Amino acid sequence: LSEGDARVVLQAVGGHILVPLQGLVGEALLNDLEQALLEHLHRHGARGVVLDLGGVEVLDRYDFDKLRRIVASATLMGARVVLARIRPSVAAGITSLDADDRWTCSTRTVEQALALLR
Amino acid sequence: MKELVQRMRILSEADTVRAVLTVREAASRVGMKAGAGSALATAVSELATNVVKYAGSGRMTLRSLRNRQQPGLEVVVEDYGPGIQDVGLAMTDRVSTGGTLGLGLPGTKRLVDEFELESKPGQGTRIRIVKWG
Repeated sequence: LSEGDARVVLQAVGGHILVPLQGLVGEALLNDLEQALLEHLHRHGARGVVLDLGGVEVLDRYDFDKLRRIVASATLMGARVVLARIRPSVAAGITSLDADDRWTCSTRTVEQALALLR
Repeated sequence: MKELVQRMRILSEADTVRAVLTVREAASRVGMKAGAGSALATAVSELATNVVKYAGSGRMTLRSLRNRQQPGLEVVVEDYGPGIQDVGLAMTDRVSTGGTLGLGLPGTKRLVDEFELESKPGQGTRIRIVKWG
């Protein structure tokens, strides 16, 4: 967990995109994610996107709302988005903060997310 | 027992990331459980982001505590922004006082064990939170 590992990597898995997120996701990282993901969807398309949050330990309401916007944009571009591997601390934090989570589709593992998108 | 760990300025989004990282590391160093450390870090992330979005600048002071045979951390987040016009309203769930998300203070309070808020319109806001465990 450090500032240095704030990087966005898009991995192609079948017809889907897997995005592992690590460490502290802040506004800057999420802006990078938005740009990279939407650009990829525009150029190459994808049926589904899995946002793997397994490496994320802290997510505040602002981050979560930004994720909501990214998911909404990707959905408008024809991709289904599933959140995977949300940690207990993040789930408890989001619930305590009363953030709007009605838009989420989430699974415990990346495999389950990919199966859901199949 | 109360000991100063760090004092830092909050001027930008990068500073909020540094503040959260500092709190996470301190929680681990003083022996807090992972869940307590993450809850405090999430609360600090909210408060520091509020400073950047609503006040522009402020500072965080982090102190380690020990009490009741368990470690704890105290975080004071201060800013010199516009202050909160109606503190009672800001502490009511689902009330937005600024952007679309509001300050999220009731949620932040739920994440910690102690929460004190002082705010004077035109002078700024000081929030002190404590997490044990």
